[in-house]
Amino acid sequence: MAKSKTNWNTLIALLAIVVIAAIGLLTSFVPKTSGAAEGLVNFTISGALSITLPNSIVDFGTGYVTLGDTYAILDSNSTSPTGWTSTANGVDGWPSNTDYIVLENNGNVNANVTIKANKTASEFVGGTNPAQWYAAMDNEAGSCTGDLQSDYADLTTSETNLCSSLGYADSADTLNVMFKLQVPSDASPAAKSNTITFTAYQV
Amino acid sequence: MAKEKLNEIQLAAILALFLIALFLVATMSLPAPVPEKPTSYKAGKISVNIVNTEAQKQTTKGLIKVNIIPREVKNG
Repeated sequence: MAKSKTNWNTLIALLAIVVIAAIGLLTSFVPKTSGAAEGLVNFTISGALSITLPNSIVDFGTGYVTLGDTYAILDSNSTSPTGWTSTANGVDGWPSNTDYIVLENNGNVNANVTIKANKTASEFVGGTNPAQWYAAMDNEAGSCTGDLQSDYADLTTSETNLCSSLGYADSADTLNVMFKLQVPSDASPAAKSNTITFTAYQV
Repeated sequence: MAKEKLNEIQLAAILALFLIALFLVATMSLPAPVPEKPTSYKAGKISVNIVNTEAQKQTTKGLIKVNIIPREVKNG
């Protein structure tokens, strides 16, 4: 009888151990219902200074200083030259159309843009009292957020300001650059050209 | 003695049956694991460092052209 009682005690103890182990096993399968995470994403964008000329030529076409005038004024921003008899339009249609060099900031930093010519007015046009000027205006509103040379200024062989801060957003990053020439009546006849250099500096 | 051995056999049988029943219950009735669904969040952080590694100066060239012809030719 005492032995039987011992067996029952052993049975109860074993069952208790099994139940506790079973509870532990079952709870290990219960899915987690909460959690949190924290991370860090880090990357680098390199800045690129870059300008381009979608239209790189202003062509005044062919013509001569009208007889009786001492000089002609050819303005690429105007379709009404003075003292100039045009015999053939330029490649973009001047003087029937206005004509500009179009300058775009296609980088991703603001640019301070300067302009210079490789020839003086005397070297380019020749004759008595020739002159050359330049100016610029926004092709896209808000392109130049700095000092814009909007009035005609002498075009020289030294760098001068065009726009001190040209933006790079696609919708506001383009300038029209216009030129004006004074062609004396005694300028020698020839096909003439002047190379214009635009230099961009990171702002 | 026969009674006591019978109790030990009964004890082993009961224990074995219990373990088998427990195993069956545990393997057949456990819920399938479900994907973790966070119920709380902490803010992460995204940082960006924009540097300038390209050239700090760039030039490009345009052209002004004009063709001046003799007046005498046009005015004969």
